[in-house]
Amino acid sequence: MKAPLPFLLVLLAVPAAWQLAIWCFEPKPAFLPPPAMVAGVLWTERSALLGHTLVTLGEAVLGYAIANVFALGCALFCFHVGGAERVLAPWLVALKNVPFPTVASILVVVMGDSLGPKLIVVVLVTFFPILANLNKGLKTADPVLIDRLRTLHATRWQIFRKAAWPAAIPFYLAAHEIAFTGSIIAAIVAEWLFAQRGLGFLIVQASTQFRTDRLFAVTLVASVVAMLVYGLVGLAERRVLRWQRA
Amino acid sequence: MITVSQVSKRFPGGTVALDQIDLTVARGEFVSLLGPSGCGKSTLLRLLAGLDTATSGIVQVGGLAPVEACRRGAIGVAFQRPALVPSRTALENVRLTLEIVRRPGSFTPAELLRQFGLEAFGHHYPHQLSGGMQQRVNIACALVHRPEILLLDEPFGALDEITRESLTGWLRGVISATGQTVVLVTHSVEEAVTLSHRIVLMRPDPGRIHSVSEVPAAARIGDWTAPAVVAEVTHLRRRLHGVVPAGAAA
Ligand SMILES: Nc1ncnc2c1ncn2[C@@H]1O[C@H](COP(=O)(O)OP(=O)(O)O)[C@@H](O)[C@H]1O
Ligand SMILES: [Mg+2]
Repeated sequence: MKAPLPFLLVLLAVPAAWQLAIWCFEPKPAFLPPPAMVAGVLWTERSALLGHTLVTLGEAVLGYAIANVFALGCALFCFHVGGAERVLAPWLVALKNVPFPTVASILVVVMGDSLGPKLIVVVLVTFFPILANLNKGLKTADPVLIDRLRTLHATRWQIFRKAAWPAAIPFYLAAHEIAFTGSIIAAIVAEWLFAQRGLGFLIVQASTQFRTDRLFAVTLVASVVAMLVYGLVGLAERRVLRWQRA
Repeated sequence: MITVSQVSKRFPGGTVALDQIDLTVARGEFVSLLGPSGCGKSTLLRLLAGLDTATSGIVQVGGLAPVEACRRGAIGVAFQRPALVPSRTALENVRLTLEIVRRPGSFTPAELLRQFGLEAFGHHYPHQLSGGMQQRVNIACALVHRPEILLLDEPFGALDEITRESLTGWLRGVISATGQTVVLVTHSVEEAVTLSHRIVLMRPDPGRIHSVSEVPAAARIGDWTAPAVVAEVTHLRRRLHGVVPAGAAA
């Protein structure tokens, strides 16, 4: 990590404030369970939590991978076929602005508790930011460089590989920062509607049973997973873009 | 080597950037296009490079259409802004040219950088190099595949006066070693005088050739203060004043 101290501060400050609130206001555990109680849940239900987390993570990662394949394919298509972006744009806008929880509900009704609805929801949520960033990044390719490559009679594919793609990489990585964590949230929401496994399912189960401590535990797990994913993207970014700091 | 006959270029907006241009450049000749901005120098160079097409007239490079010349790797270009990939080192940038055109007799990128005095900077990224060094790498990129023709558009235009003067001398050395045909676009009279065999003076609205002058061999030297250079520069500068549109002063 670039700045471990500020991160540590967050890790310490949040539980400290939480415990402080308990001491000051003494709320009922059903409103705000004390950290120790949540920690207890995390510990005793650790294997179940891990199992459900892996289910959610699996859906998120698989859906995200599919979204990336689609977005890369789409961006390549737009780059190679002049005018394709203008034809595709209205479809993408429509796709982007469909409220995904309602789509998820429809999918769940139609397809039931299978992998399909979860993957589709994850793809719907993450596809657009990836594609938008890719398209934007590809357009930042240096026109002078492209002219130089054209005088070498470079093919469209070579111009893509040598000039446009390197220009798009920072944008592509920035997309992961938003979209990869978004994929986890999307998977949770999809499970929430109808599922027997996953963090979303645990949330529904805990809330119908008024188990605030479990809700907190699940929230904590989901946040940590999202943060780890975010950290992973940051790490990849620093590695790929290390030339910038050379 | 280069033949331009009756070439006009009219842009969609209606601007006539070039009007009935005739020009020939012999093999091994160094020709500069000089003139105030907007007189069509870059447009003419882009036509030679096959980056744009003439509205009318014929452009031939080595007897071929420019695009065909490009296909054979016969053309190298360098513009004012270095066309370098920021995530590639200087050496990798020079190699980029060879990744696209493979020609027998190409220079070895590392060897070329060494000749250009950049041996120690091969593994530096462009942002770690000064403007003058970036431009030297840029020109290395343009001629590493040993094209017959080098097209340069104000390559030193963004550099400070001192760097520009020293790079002008450096370029003369490079070109006399490679023997390439060069067309240089510049608005620097000194640069044109000390590098070229011939100077094509252009005037704007519409872009036309005003006059063509031979540069005496005595003026093609490194010292910009030498009497022969100063005399030629003065002579050209007076003519340049004649082509700047009236009322365009200051
Ligand atoms: N792509 C273009 N579209 C429209 N007008 C252009 C374009 N490129 C150049 N021009 C116009 O053509 C004229 C000549 O431009 P240019 O060749 O760049 O001049 P120079 O390089 O001598 O400064 C100018 O009036 C310029 O505005
Ligand atoms: Mg110009």
